[in-house]
Formats: sequence, C-alpha cells, structure tokens
Amino acid sequence: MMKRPQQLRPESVEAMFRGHYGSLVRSLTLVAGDRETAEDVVQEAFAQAYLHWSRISSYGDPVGWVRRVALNRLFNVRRGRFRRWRAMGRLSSLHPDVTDEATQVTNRVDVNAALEELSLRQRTAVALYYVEDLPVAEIAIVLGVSQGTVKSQLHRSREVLRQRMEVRHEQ
Amino acid sequence: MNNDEQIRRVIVASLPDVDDEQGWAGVQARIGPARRRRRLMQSAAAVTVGAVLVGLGIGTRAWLTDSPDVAETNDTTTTSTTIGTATECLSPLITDDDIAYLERWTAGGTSLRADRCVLAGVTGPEPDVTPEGLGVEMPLHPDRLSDDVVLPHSALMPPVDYYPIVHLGQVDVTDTHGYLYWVSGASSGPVPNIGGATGSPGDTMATQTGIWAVDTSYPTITVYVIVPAEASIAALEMDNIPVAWQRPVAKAAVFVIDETQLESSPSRITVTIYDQSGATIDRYEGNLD
Repeated sequence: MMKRPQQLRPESVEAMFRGHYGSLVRSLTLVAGDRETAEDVVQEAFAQAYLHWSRISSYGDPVGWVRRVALNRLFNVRRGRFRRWRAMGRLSSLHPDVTDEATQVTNRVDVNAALEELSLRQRTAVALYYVEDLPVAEIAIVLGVSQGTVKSQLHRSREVLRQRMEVRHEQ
Repeated sequence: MNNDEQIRRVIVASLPDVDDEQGWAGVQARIGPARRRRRLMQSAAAVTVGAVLVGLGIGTRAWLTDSPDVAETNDTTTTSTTIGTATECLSPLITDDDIAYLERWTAGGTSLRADRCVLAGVTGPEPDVTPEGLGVEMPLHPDRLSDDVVLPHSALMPPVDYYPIVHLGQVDVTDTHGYLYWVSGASSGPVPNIGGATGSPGDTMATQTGIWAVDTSYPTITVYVIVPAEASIAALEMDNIPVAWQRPVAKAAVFVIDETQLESSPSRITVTIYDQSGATIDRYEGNLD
C-alpha cells in the first residue's frame, strides 16, 4: 500500500488555505499559463476540501489532496485549450498585474517562452519542483509516474530553460 | 544558468503576487453553490438509481447474450494488461482527436471498449516501464481497443458531474512468484491481504471467490474482486450509483477509484459479482467513512 509521509495536519481549511494558497496558485500559474485559471481551480479545490473536511482532515496529506484536485481540474480545463494556447502564444501577456519591474518582465517573457516548449506534464513537474519545493518522490505520486520519469522530465525541462536563458544572455 | 538555484530564482521571479484575502473570498463564494449542487445531485441520484439499477440488470443480461467470447477471455494465464475507462482515457495526455474519437465511439449509446494504452505488454509482476514511465502518452486507436473491458454507455455518460475516475485492472494469478499481482494505470503491486483472505503460490482462486479486499488508503479506493470461472462480470457502485462494470479475464478484477477526482466523497461502496446468467453470486457493501 502506498505510504504517504506524515505531515502536520492543519486544524481547519482556512489554516490550510493561509499556509498554501499562494504557493499553489503560483505553482499552477506556471502550469496553466494564466493566473485566473490557476486561482479558479485552486479555489474550487479548497471549496471541496471545506465541504468534505471531516474526511479529508484525516488524510495524511490534506494539502496534497487539494493539490491533486486542483491539478486534475486544471488538466481538464487545459485539455481542450492546450493546443490552441500553444498556437496563440499567449504567454507574453500573462500576469498583467505583476510588479512591472523591467527585470521581472524580461524574466517573465523568457521563462514563459521557454515553458511554452515544455509539455503539460513537464511544466507541472517544473512547477512542483521549483515553486512548491516538492521532492521528486512526492512529485511522482502527484503525477502518477515513476521517480525516474520525474527526473527525466525535470532534466529535459532544465535543458530547455538553460538553452533559452543562454540565448537571451548572448543577445 | 548553471544550476538549479538560478533556474528557481528566475522562475519564482516570473510568478505573480497572490492576494490571499481575495482568494479566500473566492473559496467562500463557491461553497454555497457547491452545497446546493451536491444536494441536487443526491436528490437526482435517489430518483434515478432505481431505474439505473433495473437497466443495469437488463443490460447485463442483454450484453452477455451478445458476447459469445466471454468464456474465451476467462483465462487465468492471460498476461495482465492495463485497461481503463473512457473517463480515464480523457486524461490530459489524450489529444483532442482522441476525445473526438471517443465521443463518436460512444455516440452509438451501447458500449465502449477502451484501452488505457499504458503498460501494454506486461510480462510479469514488474511493469514494462517505457522510457517515459507509466502513463506514457499513446493515442487511442481502434487497433488498441481492448476486448477485455466493456462498459455500458450509462456508466460513461453520467447525468451529473459526479462519477469518479475509475481504473480497471486485472489480477494476474499466475505470475512467476505465485503471488497475486494487479496492474493499473499508475501503479502495480501485490494484492493486499485484507479481510482474512490470503494469496499464496499456487492459488487458483476457485475456492476464494468474492470480494477479496477493499482498501481505502489515500489517495485511492481499491476494490479487488476474485470471481469464479463461471462468473462473467463485476459491477461497482458508489453511493448506489453504478460506476463501472468489468468482464473479468483472469478471474479477477481491480477497481481503483482516484479519490482526488471525486466531486463529493462517497460514503458507500457496493460491488456485485454476477454469473453468466445475470444472477448475483456475491455482493459487498461497505461504508467508506
């Protein structure tokens, strides 16, 4: 049977929300390509957690449950839009209300352009690893793949990101 | 851009600020409608469950009559393959074209034969992991549709957004170690020893039919079903709503429900085993809370 690492359980949905909402939204923004979709799926996941808290609170990793629900919802949303999204190259218009510092904008465009080259699963692995700091083993559980697959996805993603960044620096 | 930390800094710097208060307000705004939706679904389910169950019984008989190859597939030496439902095939890895294909396939309103397209060619207790690992993307194609699973249309087209993702797997009772093994979309492993039943080398399952085990360990609910040779189908219901049924191949079936996919937590699970006449051989009902 699958054993999940024991984590401190939040006392309420709100406590869990306060501790993880921002991180989850940022992480899923990276996956979704837009913050609105990320906020939508994460809020819906927390609402579901609220409705079923008596059961979910008994899980070893309630935050993991919320993450899985949000990701699954995101995948459902993205499924129909993914190809169109890639084709339209919407990435440069992301996050309109982010602090408008020149370096951040530059980074954002470059990161988004690089992420555009990654598959949905690769972006998810990158988001969970770099934004949420999840270990490879836990990412493997979230994605339902082996740890070797996660490492492989991260390796390829790093290569793409490095190449993109190096091109920018050379320019 | 030489190390992980640099990549992390660049990525994190590109992400937006998040307003917790606005987010919490958004969560609260969703709770009321979700509650109402849940109540409506429960009411609708109560009204329709009787008709659905009657239909399930009739459908089972009709389907069995139309399926002369049942006996042929009831083969304990069959190597395990991974089988899934249409719902599972609607994963993010499946393309729009595949979805369109599935929609055309189900439009006939009778049945769907779907192959999860993963782990084909399992040769033993260890999955044949491809370079991409489990869950590798493979387009759904008629050539790969499996004869091993037949699902009624009603199980694939739920009236409300309620049904869980259900993975169907098989138990290979003849693996080289003599232990029961199951293989499903995302994982595999030995059948647990739960409920007093034990699997040991050489077991034929002939004397141990029934619901082998129900394991509710997060994040899945897994139901292991061992059926006698003469049986032909196992059906799964959640909160009295039919979810999936499976024609067993290796005298056994595995239902794996991904709890993270559930719109609302089910409180009750029912598994029924029918023989080829449609008569109930065994029935398990249990609470999940």
